[in-house]
Amino acid sequence: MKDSFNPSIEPPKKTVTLVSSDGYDFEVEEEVALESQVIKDGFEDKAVDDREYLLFNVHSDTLELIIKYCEKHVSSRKSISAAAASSSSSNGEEALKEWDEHFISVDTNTLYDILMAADYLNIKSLLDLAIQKVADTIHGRSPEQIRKKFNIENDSIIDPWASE
Amino acid sequence: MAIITTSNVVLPEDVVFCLLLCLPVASLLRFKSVCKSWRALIESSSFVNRHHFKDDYNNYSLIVMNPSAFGRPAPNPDLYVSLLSGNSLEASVKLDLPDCCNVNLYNDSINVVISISGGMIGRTNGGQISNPLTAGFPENTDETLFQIWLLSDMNMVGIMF
Repeated sequence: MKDSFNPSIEPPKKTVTLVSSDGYDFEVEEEVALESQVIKDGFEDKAVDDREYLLFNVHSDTLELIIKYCEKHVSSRKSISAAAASSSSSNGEEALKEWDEHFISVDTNTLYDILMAADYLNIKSLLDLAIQKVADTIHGRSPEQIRKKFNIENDSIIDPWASE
Repeated sequence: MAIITTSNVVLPEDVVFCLLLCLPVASLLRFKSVCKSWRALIESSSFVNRHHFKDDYNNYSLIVMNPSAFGRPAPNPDLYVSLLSGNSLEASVKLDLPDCCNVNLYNDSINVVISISGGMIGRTNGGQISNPLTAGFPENTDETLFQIWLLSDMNMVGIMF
């Protein structure tokens, strides 16, 4: 039997099933799923065999990325706190930042998919990451480009300054 | 089975709020004309406060306007602006206001602290001020029409140039 590198005995991993909008099941560890505040809220009240979430607005392609992000963050947090506990120096946070930057360097559509999914699942750190990335890409745009990009109807009233 | 739903047709307002918080003031002034809801958001006091107190504003210089140093009597007094760095004034310049400008000082003893950060004019030590985002900052005009209203205690100072 293979021993874990961690001498303390770990309880068997509990899992949660996430179902994407296109019907794919993703079985993830509970702590990974709990990165989502939406899942976390009321999680304890749910029966163990009812821990399945149908994510109507998240396509499997996006969900895969989201899970990858959450897994990375859960494991990084562990290794960072482990390093802190043994007071060994660690560049874990720096490495995670780099990883994040690489993770979010995706094409525009994927970026918006991630943004919407992070908002929908309420994963604060990922939402912040995606929002900052979007902000970086739009800050120099014109209002018209913004409207086009975000599907916003131009309902602006006449600029009050224009008549002065 | 839990079903989590939301609409993903447009950006939710909380996302827009956070997105706009990440943008520099120059972009915000431009994006006020995107649509009514963006304008309302950008001009809202909750947004202005949040934007102003973002971490990266800590490094901006403060500018002190001291109306008591005005040489010229009202209605067109001289206005001095000083750069505040830490506790020391680094530079002091007299604003070169055009003759037609309208300066109304209702109290000559207040010490007004405003901070300039990428175009945003901040707050007074009295606590409240509007800035170009709220007082209006014309985007598409060649005229240098610019308005600042400062409110310190119950005294208002209006400056237009």
